[in-house]
Amino acid sequence: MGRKITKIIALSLGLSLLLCSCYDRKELEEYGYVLIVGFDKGTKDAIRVTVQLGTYKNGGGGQGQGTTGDTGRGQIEGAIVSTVEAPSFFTGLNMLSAGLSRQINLMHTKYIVFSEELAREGQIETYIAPLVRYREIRSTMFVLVSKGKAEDFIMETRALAGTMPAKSMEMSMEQMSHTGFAPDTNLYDFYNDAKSGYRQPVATLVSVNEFKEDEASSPKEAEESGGQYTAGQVPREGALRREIFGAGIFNGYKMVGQLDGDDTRLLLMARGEFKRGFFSIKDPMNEKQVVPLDIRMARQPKIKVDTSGDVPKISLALELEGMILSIQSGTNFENVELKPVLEKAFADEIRNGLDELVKKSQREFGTDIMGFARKAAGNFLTIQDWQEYDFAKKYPDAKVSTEVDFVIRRTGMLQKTSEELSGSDEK
Amino acid sequence: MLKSEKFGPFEGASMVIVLITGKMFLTSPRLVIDKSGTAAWLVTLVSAIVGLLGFYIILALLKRFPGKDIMDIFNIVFGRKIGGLFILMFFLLFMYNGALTLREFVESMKTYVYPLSPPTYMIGALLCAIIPLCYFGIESIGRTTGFCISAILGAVTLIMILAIPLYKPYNLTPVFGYGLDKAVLLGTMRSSVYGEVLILAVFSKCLQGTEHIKKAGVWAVAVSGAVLVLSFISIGMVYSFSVASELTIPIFQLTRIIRYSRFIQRLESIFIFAWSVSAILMVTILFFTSLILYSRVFDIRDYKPLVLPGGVLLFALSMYPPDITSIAVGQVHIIRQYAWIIYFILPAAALAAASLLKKGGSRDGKKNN
Repeated sequence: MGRKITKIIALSLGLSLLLCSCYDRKELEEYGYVLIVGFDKGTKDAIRVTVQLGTYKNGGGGQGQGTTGDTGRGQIEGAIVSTVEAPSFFTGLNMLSAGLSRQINLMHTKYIVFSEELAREGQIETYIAPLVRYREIRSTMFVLVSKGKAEDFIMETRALAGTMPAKSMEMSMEQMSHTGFAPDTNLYDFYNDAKSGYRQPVATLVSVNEFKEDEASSPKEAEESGGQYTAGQVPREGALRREIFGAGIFNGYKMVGQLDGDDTRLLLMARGEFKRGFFSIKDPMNEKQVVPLDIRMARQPKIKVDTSGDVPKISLALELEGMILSIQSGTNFENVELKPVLEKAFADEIRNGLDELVKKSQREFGTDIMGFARKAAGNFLTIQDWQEYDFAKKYPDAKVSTEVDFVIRRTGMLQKTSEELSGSDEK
Repeated sequence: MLKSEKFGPFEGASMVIVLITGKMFLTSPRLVIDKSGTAAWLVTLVSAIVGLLGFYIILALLKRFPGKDIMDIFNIVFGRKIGGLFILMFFLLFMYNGALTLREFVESMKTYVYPLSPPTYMIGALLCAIIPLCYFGIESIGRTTGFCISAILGAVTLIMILAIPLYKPYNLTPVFGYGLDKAVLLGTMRSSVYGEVLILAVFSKCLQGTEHIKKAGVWAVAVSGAVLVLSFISIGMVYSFSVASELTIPIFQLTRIIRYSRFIQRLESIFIFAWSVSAILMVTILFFTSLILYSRVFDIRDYKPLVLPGGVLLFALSMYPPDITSIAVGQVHIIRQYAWIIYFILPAAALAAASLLKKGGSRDGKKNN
């Protein structure tokens, strides 16, 4: 009996040691959670690392109307921004800890921002590879390229409403699936694309909007699509100054160009990543008016690549579907005779845009951003054959044909646009 | 000592499945992808086929000596000294494999989950679960494995299903990777992955007849092969081969990028449970098998006094490799690549010797001498 009790006591003591917690236990308040990491070119050292740490108090409540809402350098609502110049990212993190009472933790980081200057010099590789290796980094974080300094973008990034900046950041990127004006590229996609050769990476283009609308360049009539801007140029006021619009184009790890909102939408369609967006096209019956459409992909793009010759022959076929949002001119596009006119007009516009984008990718960027190599690789049996063919080198000379099929599936809550019966003015 | 312990084909198959599929959660898949490119799934398919052929050789040997286990058979065919030497080779392989698996798991856990915990502390904690399980015996181990197998395979299946939105089939092209010939050769060499099916021959007396052994072995290799092939296809469709060949544990990193809006993400917490249970069971089965083999070589009637000193040996051996690189690229790679010589060639040699020396019954059970 005595031995049994001794065993039970010994077991209880042993288990109490093991069950109270694990060796790596840390309290939440011991960590400072980084929400955004930014990289700029350094002046005193190799890089300038900026981090935004969530304070999880007094969060949200962006001040709107273009004010920064700073409560002092390095402090914004719900977060602290801190910057350091360091020889490497991880040393920079240690150096930043000098001014903090908490251990910096990257497990909840949402954005990684590179300045355009760094990206254009191809220095992203230096920072991406260590990040992918580090266990705290999650590959689901988004990769952004800032047109100005990454530090400025981070200073302007905060929650517009609510108290959770991290949630706000994720929701901001989710907006891209409703507009298509920017890709929601995460670290996993970026790294995979940069390394694989199946397609070249793109990053989300961001900037700070100074809310200085250039009156001279603003269109007087509705001639533009609304997506002709890149980040920082959208003629708007109010809400947050940070802006997500357009895409940074890469060849490997080197940024070689940028796309505006319209081209980004076309790019996402060709990559099969476009979800939904509102488009405005010129009314085919009245050029002074526009017809806004709600567009989705009907199915994934069909890509065929013929690699039998020295020059690849590529065909890209898109199938889109949409819904009429409004008809400004009052033309009855809902009827069976006129519906195909609108469908053809939109399909032609998208096909022309795609042709231009393909030319741009071949001549200006020289990089297969649409991912035709994905299909081309399937034409080869071994990796050696595929590498020997060197699709990336041949892509700028490739013959690309595009085809767009568009169907208006629904006409919204109105099925007919009637003429006005009353009123004296004649149409 | 094992005669009184019985388990069915399900428990037998479960133990083999855990031993084979558990390797998917460790470092060796990276090396397969590195060497075969996009054809990693093909490599493991070839390994499964060769492994199944290897199992049929073991089964033929068991059928020739009904009611005997592989230790008895080796003693009959080769005599006590040479037979004992071969069984000692089995013991060394299982013991070292167990120690390497333990260390490999601990190093992986340190890399991904517990960076601060010392390896000795983690190995000690795991041994606290492994050693008592060994005291309970093979029947308890088999039934525990049978109980856990659905959770382990369920977790792997769940991950593969949840990862569907991340699948990009073009990542699997060019379909033959670095070449069909290389894939087949590598697959044949790596049939050692399926070599642990040999434990059915070690514990054959616990299973009721060769029909049960056949059932357990064929099912185990088939299910394990399917799980491994599907896992490689999943990983291959998510990561390009150039990226997957860099990742320490590709399937774990796959669980880290599964994300369904803001609400369903960070699913590795589910995976860690299956991973830990699988690793503990793997090491337990390997360690227990090695104890049984050792006790039979030296005619020790009860294995239980060996458990604690064996545990100390397991601890010491697991601490022997200096770092994760020497484990993943060095020792584990050597075992995966060459252990088939011990797993399959030794039983094949025993079968050939038994035929030549006309020892044991013929395949229909009739005695030849």
